Amino acid sequence: MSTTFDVYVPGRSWLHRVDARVKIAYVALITILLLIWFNLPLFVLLLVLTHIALLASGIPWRRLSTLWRALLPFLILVAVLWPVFAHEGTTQLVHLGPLRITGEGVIGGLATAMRFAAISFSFIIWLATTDQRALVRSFVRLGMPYKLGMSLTIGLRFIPTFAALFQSVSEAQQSRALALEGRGLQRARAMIPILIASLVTTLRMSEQLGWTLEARAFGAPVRRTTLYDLAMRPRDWLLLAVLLALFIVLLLLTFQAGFGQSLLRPW
Amino acid sequence: MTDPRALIEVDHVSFSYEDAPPALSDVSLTIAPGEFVALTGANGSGKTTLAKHFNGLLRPSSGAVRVDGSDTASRSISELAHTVGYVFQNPDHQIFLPTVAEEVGFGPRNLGVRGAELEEQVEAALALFELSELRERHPTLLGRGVRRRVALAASYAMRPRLLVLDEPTGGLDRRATDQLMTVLHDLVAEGRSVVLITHDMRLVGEHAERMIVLNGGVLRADGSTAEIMACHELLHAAGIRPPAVARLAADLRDVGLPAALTVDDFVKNVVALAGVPRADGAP
Repeated sequence: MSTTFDVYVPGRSWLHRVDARVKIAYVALITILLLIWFNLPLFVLLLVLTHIALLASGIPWRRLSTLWRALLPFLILVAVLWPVFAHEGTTQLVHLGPLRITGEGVIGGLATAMRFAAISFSFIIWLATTDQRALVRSFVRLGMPYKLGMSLTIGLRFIPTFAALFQSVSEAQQSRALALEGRGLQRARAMIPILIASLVTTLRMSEQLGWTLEARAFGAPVRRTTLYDLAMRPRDWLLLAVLLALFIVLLLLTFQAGFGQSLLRPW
Repeated sequence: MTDPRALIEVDHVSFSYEDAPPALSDVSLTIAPGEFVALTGANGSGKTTLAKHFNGLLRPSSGAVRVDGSDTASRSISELAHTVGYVFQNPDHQIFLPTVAEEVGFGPRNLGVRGAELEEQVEAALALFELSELRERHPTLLGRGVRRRVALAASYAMRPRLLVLDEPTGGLDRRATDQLMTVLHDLVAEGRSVVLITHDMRLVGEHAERMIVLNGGVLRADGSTAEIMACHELLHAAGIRPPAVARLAADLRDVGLPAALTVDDFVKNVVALAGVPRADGAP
């Protein structure tokens, strides 16, 4: 079944094989840098590099364009509203009563939109190349309680099931002549039979799932072993070390030499 | 090629779910008023997919489905529900009201039935499925078999001209199954049609006069149950096994025993052949 919530694309590229924890570290570090920098060319450059990495890992362009379409309204909103409220700079473009728009404001808006896009696609590098099992396993290895990790796995696993259930309940109620035509409140009211039956069935499913888990000794007081464990390979450690070194260098450059601090120039 | 007599007309219908191989390939058939049809086939053969075309839950990728002469493509599901009733496999997918009586009345209400007529239809449905005593109970809190009876009564109360039942006997005991079959035969006697989706070949042999066999989305056989049940190779290829008594009768064909689909027929044949009276005293 096709699902829209999961951005993971199966594959065997080198990014897919990097330990999930290293990818989490990358996302954390790059997000920090993106938040302390404020430089349009740097953001665009990072976006381009991110896209090259994603495409090289076998993430189809179609998937990336879907994500862009989802992000676009938000990015446009930021780019348009930013210059309305940010008045710094001397190059005045528009001055109509209380409305004052500066060139710096416009570029700042673009930079902020690109910053959000760059952060989003950095997360995509992580999520598109890490399957859910490795994802949750990495959380558990980083200290999340196992039961919580299991709940997270089950929750993610059941999203398509719930979508199918909702569809099936909707069909069942429409077969009983429930009309789903109309808009707004009328349509919301027509959804009630579907929502209640879905909810009751979901609760019933959760109860049964709990029983079947316990029947298979979930939560037994013994030390757990795992079939699919994560292991940091030498190259994962190396990558982590390179990432950390690069981060520290960039951080020093940023605070000592003002790297990424001015809107358009790199220094 | 519209058949004026047909209630449902499936005209060269193919259907695929997105990005999947076709679930139905060029299926054509008609269902006339007053027919009791069994829709059979292995898991994933396309039974439910085909049945969902009868009330517009699915629209054909190519070909056309006509209900009472008009194309389903131009009509909504709730509109088609006036003609075609559908009982889903899982009764929990429809139960949402706080009492059994309200639940049973939901469909007729949507069809615009009100007042004494509504009361009468609900009462009749409750009585037929032995739910009268439970009418004020909360249906979600009842047992699984009872919930199934509630779902059946709810569809029955809509008085559809065609009732589609998807595996309706799961969770029903023998008694409730027999009751359901009696109700279905009564509907057929009134000139309404019944399509029964099932894996239970004993049920098919005992109740359906017509049988449709699907395999891999292709219509493999459509005809009288007695004739198709005799085609063992065809059924085997479609992953269906005729009821035990039919296989027994087929194995004994060489001693002059005619084919039989029910134990009753089989006993009758043996009695006729051997010339002895029946042990149970039945004529």
